[in-house]
Amino acid sequence: MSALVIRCIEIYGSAFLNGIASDAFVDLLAEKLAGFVGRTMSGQRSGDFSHYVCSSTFDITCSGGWFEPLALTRKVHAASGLRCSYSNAMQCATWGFLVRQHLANKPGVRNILVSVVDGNPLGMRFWENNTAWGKTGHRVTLVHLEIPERSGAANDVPGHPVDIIMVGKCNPAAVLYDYALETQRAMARHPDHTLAIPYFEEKMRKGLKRSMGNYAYLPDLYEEFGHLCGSDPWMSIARDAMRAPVGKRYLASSFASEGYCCFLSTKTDEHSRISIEGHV
Amino acid sequence: MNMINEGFQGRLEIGKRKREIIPALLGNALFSEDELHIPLQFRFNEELPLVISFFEYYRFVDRLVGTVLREQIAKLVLVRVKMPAVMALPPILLDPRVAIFYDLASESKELIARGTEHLCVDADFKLYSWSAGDNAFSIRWVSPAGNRLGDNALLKIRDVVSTLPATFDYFADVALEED
Repeated sequence: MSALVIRCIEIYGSAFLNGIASDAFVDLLAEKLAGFVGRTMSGQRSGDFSHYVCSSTFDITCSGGWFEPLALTRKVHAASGLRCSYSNAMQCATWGFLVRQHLANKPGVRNILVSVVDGNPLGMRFWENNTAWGKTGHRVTLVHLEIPERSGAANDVPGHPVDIIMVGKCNPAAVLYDYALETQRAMARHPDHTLAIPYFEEKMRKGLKRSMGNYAYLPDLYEEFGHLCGSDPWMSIARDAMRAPVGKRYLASSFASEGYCCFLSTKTDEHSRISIEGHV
Repeated sequence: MNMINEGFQGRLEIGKRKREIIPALLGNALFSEDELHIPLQFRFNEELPLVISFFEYYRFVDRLVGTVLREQIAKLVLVRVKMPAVMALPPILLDPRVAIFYDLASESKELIARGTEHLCVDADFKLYSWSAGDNAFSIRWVSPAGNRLGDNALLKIRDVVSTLPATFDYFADVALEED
């Protein structure tokens, strides 16, 4: 059983995407993503990389035609030389489904770049605060994961994708209860991992906390950030990894209002690079 | 060996709708009443009719992807999904043999470059009033190795496509649009 290695997590505020025309929005976001791809690949073969862009908040802005994801992904491709695909289908858990399809369809491509992009360019109130989960914060989170090489050592042999990534669909009528069960199932497979789950208002978190009691988990940063959509587990891991011992294993999890959820086994190593804009 | 691109492409037609009672599924409005200036900034074709609902589109995708996987027509299916939606995706789309993207062309090219056969279920339907969809669709089998779909597979796919209120045609060897 193995974990994807965190090569890099970069987290930026997304205020730079708000209150601007759609053309400028696409240009600025493409520039940010292409810069990340460029830094990450730095001279390595593009055939060893795949890049996926996902979002929760950029939904009706796309399907309503305010901005075209294809325009964004083409610009990123042109500027970075690496093709990328966009998805928002599984809401906050989209990044996990993208990793799963990558491991299933392109296991030979060892470097997975996932850009989790959220903002509120049109100032919609729903994406600031809503009754479903409370306050929402927005980040542009850029994650570089690497499929470990087969080293021969039993503990380092890449496992079946199902050991690395688990996805599920909770019943929306009992979504927190179902998610707590999924979390317990996932942690039972990875008892040596530390859990990083999404940020929610205290009333939602309470029940989850009870069910996580037997496992190590990272603190909820809702009070500081609000719910950060698909960026939550990455913010938690980035914060923790800055002071945790090298090689720490994390189970990164997101879950979405329609009930989609994902759990990814990851770990840091001595080369993991972490940066959070504005964080000293 | 030449790469094979074949399948069905067409367009929804409001005149082809048959009478049917379906769930309304109004969903939650993302905009408050005093925020309606926001969707006014969207770019959509106001004259294009809403031919089918989320319920009908997801039912179609469920039938099509279910058939393709059950009949082992393709080992990998790419499906275009655009959010937001008023209901959850059909569970078949969570199958590990399915990958979901907003646009399929880029991922399809990545798979072609690696010699991976796949089926693209690419429908850009207008499913709510402010949607920028164009009501066109294509169900495209892509085989870098040059394998064709058999007559039986084409027939099974055609049967499902026929349930849409749409005009459509078989196509083959249509080159993919370049980036």
